[in-house]
Amino acid sequence: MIILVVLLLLGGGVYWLTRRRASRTGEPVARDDAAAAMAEAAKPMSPAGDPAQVVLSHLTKQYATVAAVDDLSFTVEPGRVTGFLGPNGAGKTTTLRMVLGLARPSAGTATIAGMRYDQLVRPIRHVGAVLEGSAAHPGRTGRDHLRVICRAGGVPLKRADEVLALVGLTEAGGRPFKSYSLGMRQRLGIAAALIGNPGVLILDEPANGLDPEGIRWLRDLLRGLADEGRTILVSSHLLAEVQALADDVVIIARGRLVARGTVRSVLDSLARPGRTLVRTLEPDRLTPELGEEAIVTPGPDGDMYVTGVDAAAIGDAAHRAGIAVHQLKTERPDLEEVFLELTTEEAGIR
Amino acid sequence: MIMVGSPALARDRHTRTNPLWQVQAEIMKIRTTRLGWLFLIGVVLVTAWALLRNGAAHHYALYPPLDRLPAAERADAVADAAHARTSAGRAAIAADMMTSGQSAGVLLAMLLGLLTVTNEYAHGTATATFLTNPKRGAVIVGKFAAAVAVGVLFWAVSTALNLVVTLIYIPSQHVNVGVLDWIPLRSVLLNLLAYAMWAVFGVGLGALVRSQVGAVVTGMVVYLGGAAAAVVLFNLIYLAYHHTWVLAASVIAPAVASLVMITPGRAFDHAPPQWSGLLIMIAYAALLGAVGVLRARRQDV
Repeated sequence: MIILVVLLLLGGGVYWLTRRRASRTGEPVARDDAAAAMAEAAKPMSPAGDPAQVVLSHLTKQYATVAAVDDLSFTVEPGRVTGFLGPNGAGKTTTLRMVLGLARPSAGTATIAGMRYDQLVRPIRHVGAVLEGSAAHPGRTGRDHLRVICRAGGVPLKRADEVLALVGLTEAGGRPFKSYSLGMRQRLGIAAALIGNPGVLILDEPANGLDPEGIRWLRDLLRGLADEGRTILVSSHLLAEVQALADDVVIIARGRLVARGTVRSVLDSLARPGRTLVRTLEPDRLTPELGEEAIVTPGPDGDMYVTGVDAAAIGDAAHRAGIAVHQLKTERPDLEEVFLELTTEEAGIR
Repeated sequence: MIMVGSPALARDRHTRTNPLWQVQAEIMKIRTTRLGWLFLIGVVLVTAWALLRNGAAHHYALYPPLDRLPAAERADAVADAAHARTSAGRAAIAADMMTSGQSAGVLLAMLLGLLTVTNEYAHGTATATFLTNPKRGAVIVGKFAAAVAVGVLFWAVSTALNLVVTLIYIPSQHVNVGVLDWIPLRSVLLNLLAYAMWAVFGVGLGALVRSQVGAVVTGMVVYLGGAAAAVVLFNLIYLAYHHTWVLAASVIAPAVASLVMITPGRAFDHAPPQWSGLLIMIAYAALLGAVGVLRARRQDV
């Protein structure tokens, strides 16, 4: 009988209790120093967020026969956009899921502000994430999806409307998720990531499904967030996008680190120097004039590519020999080429 | 430029996570999909249907149409009617009316609890859930609490409907019994317990099986077919080992345990006492709950 009464009180009272707790704003904070320090640490953040490093140290995910991620170490710095690149199946998503505590590393650690994701107090206020395949219930409206996250994260429900406005979904907020286009779904995911105004943002292929206008919007958003001092880690296979957006890049293939550094330094680290496209009507006469260092390879439409000497030297040589040159163009390898070169070497036959 | 001031976040002063947030979020998840409301309508419909059926059956027992019955059945019908008018018979009528439709209602509570977990995996929302609250044990416990709260709501709606109808029905049949006498009240409260236990059972099963279809089928089989299967099995064993405790042992099947728990006195011949059904239901709820929490904590999302 006692059990019955207790259960009745407990069960029936749960909802009422939770409502009552929630309606209370601001719990009294104890006056001692430790509590004050905690309160300080978890205080609502300034618009600049809570910048923090993301540190991966020997991170490894071993499945039965393959290592999806293999001894991966790198650091993502605050105030910068870090592009995370790799071919399909390179282990990008697995890496991000381990950073976010959704998958367990076989070895190594991933920390955000020095803590594992599941050790963060109210992670919603520190880290926002958009993951591939993350979705909402098809019958739930976008606004309700965000409100559920607010509720679970202890954030006032009004925040759902604020982030809807931020991603331009205010009008669609009342419609069920299943009616959303791919681009709207991505925007909703980004809205969810921004709920806690986090200092760290981790995005897996966020440009997927966005139209060119959406991609531009996303680029501006991420640039703005990084300029506010936030840490942004964004994986992508759209290399041109990353090149336009990122300050740093990390390239992996087969779960292993291939290259990392600033976009510039990764480009410069390439062993192959820039080449010069030369358009002339007399390539056969010009070639011996270029000297012994020059390496000439035929290009399209009778053009030629020259490496080993720079464009100025080619121009001088042509002038001395009295050969007309119609075009001289120095081509730097872009990130795409570097990427293809690095990852095919790594992924191919070694 | 992007993060202009947020009035909502300015009011957020929480320094710690509150476990009740998860419970509230889980209840909100149920509220904001059609399924929760469809289940509630289902509870009302099965209750209404069972009230009609029970009301007709008891009316027929109290007032058998003797002139239309074959002569051979008249004596039995008269005896039944006399029994229905004893104090035990009247209490049984009240208890039966007050718990109309609740065996189906308990099934709905169990299925809803189950779906709170399997839906997360079926629709890919588990990611968002575990990102917001990486303490997976706390998420599952939140689901337990939410499922129990919804189970209690289902019970309350069904019981309220039963109460209203029974209050009208009993006087209309000229039967003298208090609707809230101990015997009907006891049945009502035991059914509350059943709603809570099966809701927890459902969440645990969902965490264990994860596959939407697999979990729903398993749940239905355990709830609907479990009792019959257990009775057949244990009677077969009884034929081999002629000990009556074998029959009592069928209580280890969850459906039998639930039946024993909610049936005052003995649920069937050689049935174990009522409290054993309660203990076994608690054990199942705890076991499935613990396994569900462990599974959620270990496995990658």
